[in-house]
Amino acid sequence: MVSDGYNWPADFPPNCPPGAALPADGVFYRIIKSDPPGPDDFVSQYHQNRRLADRNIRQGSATQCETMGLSVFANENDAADRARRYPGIGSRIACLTLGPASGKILATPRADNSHHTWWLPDGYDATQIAAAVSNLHPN
Amino acid sequence: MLPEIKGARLPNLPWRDFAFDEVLDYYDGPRMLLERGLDGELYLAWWNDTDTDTDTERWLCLPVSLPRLHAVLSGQMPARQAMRHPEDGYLLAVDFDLHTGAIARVVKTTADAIPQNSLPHPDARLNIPLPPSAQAQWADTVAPRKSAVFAGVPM
Repeated sequence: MVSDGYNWPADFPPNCPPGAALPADGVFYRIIKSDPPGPDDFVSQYHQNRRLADRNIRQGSATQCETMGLSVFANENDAADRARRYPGIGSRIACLTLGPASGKILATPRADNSHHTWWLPDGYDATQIAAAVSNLHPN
Repeated sequence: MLPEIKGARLPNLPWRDFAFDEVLDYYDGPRMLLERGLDGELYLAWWNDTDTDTDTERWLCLPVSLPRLHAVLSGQMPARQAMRHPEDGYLLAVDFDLHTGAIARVVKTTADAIPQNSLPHPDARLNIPLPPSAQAQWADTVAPRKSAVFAGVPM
């Protein structure tokens, strides 16, 4: 599905990413499990576990479009805080330098944090823009 | 497969339904929720793990008073400390079957029975405002008793 010059995954619903999303630009942080980062670290909830995404959509805690994006933070501490709160997500923080080719991004703060939702174009290899990885729990 | 949690298995949740309408924290999906019992009692529900092989998701539900909820969400009390010293002496491990969307298992247990590396890290403190549904209640009725929050709780 081509829109705004991007080739989005075919299963993205209409108006996804939303019109308010902007071409990605800047440094963001994401919790990952692997070092170096692997493709599995950049799979949306919708594409990783459809049943879980459907449950969240049905319960109203997320839209289908939101479940098709990835959570990232503009502030590294916000990402590290989530990794400490929920060790099951991962213990490593990847620093991502996003540019327009990386897709679109929208500030989606929760409780005033720096949460953003990032939508990747079809076939985009996010492992190539993960510039650094810090491990919160090296032991 | 998620590790089995030792404790007393309950036939159901002590409240009507596990709702996802008060999401307190979100990262690739909801990670923390506020649940309400039939009589208004509060439970802080904490995502713990998801097993993609068996499509099972586990949440830890901590019964909390409003002062305790305020203390945990504001970061006054470390999250792990709150789980290790629940006011009512227990927490609930709730497993969802994602195939059916139904609750598969509810176990009344303690933090000692939970894999320690899956609990919040000792230095994890929250910085989450009270949800609007709890703010008025907190301001009107509970704030004067705030100093009693840590009574008897080793820090």
